[in-house]
This record gives sequence, structure tokens and C-alpha cells, in this order.
Amino acid sequence: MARGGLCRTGTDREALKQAGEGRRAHQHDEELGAAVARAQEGDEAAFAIAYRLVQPGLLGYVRGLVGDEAEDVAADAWLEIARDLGRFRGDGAGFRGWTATIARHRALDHLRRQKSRPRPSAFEQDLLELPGTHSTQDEAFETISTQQALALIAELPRDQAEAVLLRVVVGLNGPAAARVLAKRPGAVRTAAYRGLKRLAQRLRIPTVTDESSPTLGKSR
Amino acid sequence: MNTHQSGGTGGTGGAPHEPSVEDILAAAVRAESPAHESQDQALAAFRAARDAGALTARTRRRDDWRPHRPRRFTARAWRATAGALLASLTLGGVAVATFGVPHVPGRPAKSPESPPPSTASPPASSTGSGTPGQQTGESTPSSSAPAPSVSASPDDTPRGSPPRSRSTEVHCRNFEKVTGRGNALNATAWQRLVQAAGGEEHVPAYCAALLGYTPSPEPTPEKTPEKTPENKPEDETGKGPAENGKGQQQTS
Repeated sequence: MARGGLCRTGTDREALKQAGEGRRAHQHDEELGAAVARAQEGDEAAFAIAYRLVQPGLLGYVRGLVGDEAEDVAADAWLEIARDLGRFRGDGAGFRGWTATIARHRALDHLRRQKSRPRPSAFEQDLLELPGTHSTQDEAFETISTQQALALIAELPRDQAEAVLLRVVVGLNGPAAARVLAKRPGAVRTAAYRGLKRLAQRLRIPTVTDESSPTLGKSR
Repeated sequence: MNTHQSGGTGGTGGAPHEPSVEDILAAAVRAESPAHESQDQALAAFRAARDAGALTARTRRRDDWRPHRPRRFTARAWRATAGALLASLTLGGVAVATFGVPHVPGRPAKSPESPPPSTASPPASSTGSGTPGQQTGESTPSSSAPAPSVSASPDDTPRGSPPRSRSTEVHCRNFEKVTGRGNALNATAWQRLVQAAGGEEHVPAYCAALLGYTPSPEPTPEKTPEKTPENKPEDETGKGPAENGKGQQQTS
């Protein structure tokens, strides 16, 4: 979150790649695990810490699923999380997966209810306005708005979008994401890879993954 | 331009995901700070749940996210391996038991035929259980009836003598226990024995010749009926049920 404006050199990125998702998530997971343990003993302040650590990713995930009404759906999910917190067993990373599962169920319930009254996707207009698709390839894509990012993700097939959101936004590892989605880890890994590759193409970020991972499908 | 090159170096790690895409997405989607009212709402729900005692709720399977969960699969695999090993040992034991018994040199009396001893074990156990005579008398012949039928066909042929002597030997041992108890001697097996001896009164002598000792000192029919007769069949039929049990496993 501290890295709001992204205007980075290549070496920064390389460092970010290693330090970023992996270690940052690890540090937070330790803190999160301790907070959850204290919250399970009744510590309200610890529950607030856990909330602040989990909510950004969780809300982003729910946004990717339900769009504008994500705040309400996430609030519903938090009610259930607070109610069932005593049942949870696991560490910080496990708590991310557990909460993501609850949020996903609430989101799917919401979508099922919504099906009766279909409404236009919230992302269509944003997608057209995406600066990356028209303007120069350079630093414009280093930062995109939340809506633009969600619009790009919404372009993906459902399984790819969810896999990307869980891996990148929620910060789950492969097996945890697979458990949330009730799928095999291999399927989720493939879906996340394809989704990220497509997003990179949309963002015009040159992917070396075409050469570096020959086992998976070539660029389409 | 710089971005292009940096993107290239960023992706050379061989990771399946292009890192810059992840960073951009994570920064964009996660950047928004949560609204305060929803946090207050969640905290209120937490307080309510805590005060209602919900923190002691039972953990369901879907609530267990402990990291050792994947190890369960290896534990299951290990258990399967141990089971397979046990099964192979059991079947191997059956094979040894099947082929090994006739070659035991010190036991000439034991014929390769396993059915007679195994069927002779029920009378031993039922007599040993100390049940009243009538019941014992009935159960004994009925359960030992298959034994002569197995050895009946070799009975007529000359080479059937070992099985016959084997089953007859067993019947001789049991004869003393059964004598005078109800209708036991009317059963086919005993009638065969009596027939082979040439009359009921000749049976002790016949059996003595067969077993190579005099059965008369041993009887003590009523004093310690459970102990001595029981031990006799037991030590020789001890192998019987085991073989029988393995035979059933083998067929199943």
C-alpha cells in the first residue's frame, strides 16, 4: 500500500519481485497470525489489526467478483468472520484463505440473488477509458486505477480472474487458492498463469514468460 | 524503452507469473483503504459474538486451515503402503503355510491334509467350554461330520490311509469324552469309527493301537474333564484354525 505511485526502474522491480509479494506477505502473515490468536481469546484490538491486514485484499477480491456492491458483500462476510472466529484454526496465511472462502460464498450468494435482476457490468465504460490501450506503452501502465485494474480482470474468464485475484490481491499461495476455489492446485496454477499473461498483454508489458515457460500454451 | 528492458529482466526468474503485472494489479486493487464504518461494524459483530460465547464454537472441517493439512495425504499414503506390506506378508505367510507344512520332518503324524484338524477344532473348543453333555454331544459330531467326508473318498482307496488315520486319530482322542454322552455316537463320524474298529467295545483297543498308547489311564472323565481332553486337541489343532483362517483370507 505504501507503493502507491509506481514509477520504478527495472532493478526496483526486480527487487520488488523478490521482496514484494512473497516476503511482504510472510511478514504480514506472522503479524496476522498473532493478531488472530489474540482475537480468538477475546482481544478486540487484535481483531481490528486482523481486519486492517485482511480487508484490503479481501475487498479487492470481492470487488473483482461483484463489482460496486463489494463493500456490502465484504461487510456481510466480516459479520460471519466475526461470528465464526472461534472456529478457525490456522496461522495468518490460513486466516487469509479462510476469510477468502467466506467472502467468496457471500459474493456468490449475492450474484445468485442478482441474477434475477441483471444489470450492466460496471466495468465496461472504464475499460474503454483505459489509458493503456491507446497511449504510449511506457510508464502510463506503471500505475492504473483500481477500477481499471478490476476492469482488466473482469475481462478474463471467471476461473482465471478468481485465480489471479486470490494469488495477487489476496496474497494466497497456490494450494490455499485452490482450496478456496475447491479446485485442484494444478488447475488454479494454470488459470492464474494464463490470466496474468493475458493481463500483461493488455497492459502491453513485454512478457518473457513466452520463452521462460515452454510447458504452457504459447501466446494467443 | 527502459520499461521494456526492465520488464525483460524482471521476468527472467523463470517464475510462471510476470512480476510487474502482479505488482501493478496488487497496488491498484489493494490500494484503497477500508472504510471506517465497515470496520466498526465488523468490530461490533466481533464484540457481540465474543459476548455470546461464540469464540468457543466447535471447529468444522472447513475452518481448519492449519498448515499440516497437506501432510495428511502423505500420512494416508504411508498408511496405504503399510497396508500393502501387511497384506503381502499375510499372503506370503499363507504361501509358506501351504507349501511348508509337508516338509516339516519332525512331525510325521501331521499329514498335508489340513481340513481334518481344522474341522476337529470345533469339538475341542465346544467340549472345552464346559457346556452340558447333551449340547456338546450334538455339536461335536455335526461339526466334525465334514471331516470324514473329506477323508471318506480316500478311505476306499489304498493311498488314502494317512488321511484316514489322521481323522480317525482325532476321533479316537475325542471318543473317550463322547462315550456315554447322549447321541453323539450315533453320528456318522463316530459310526465310521465304530465300524472301522469292528464294534463299539473294540474302539479303545483300536484307538490304542492307532495312537500307540493306552488310552485307559488317561480318561478321568468326570474329574478334570475340561483340562486334559482340551489340551490334547488344542496343541495339535492350534495350527488348524490358523491355517483355516488364512485359507479364508486367501480365498476372499
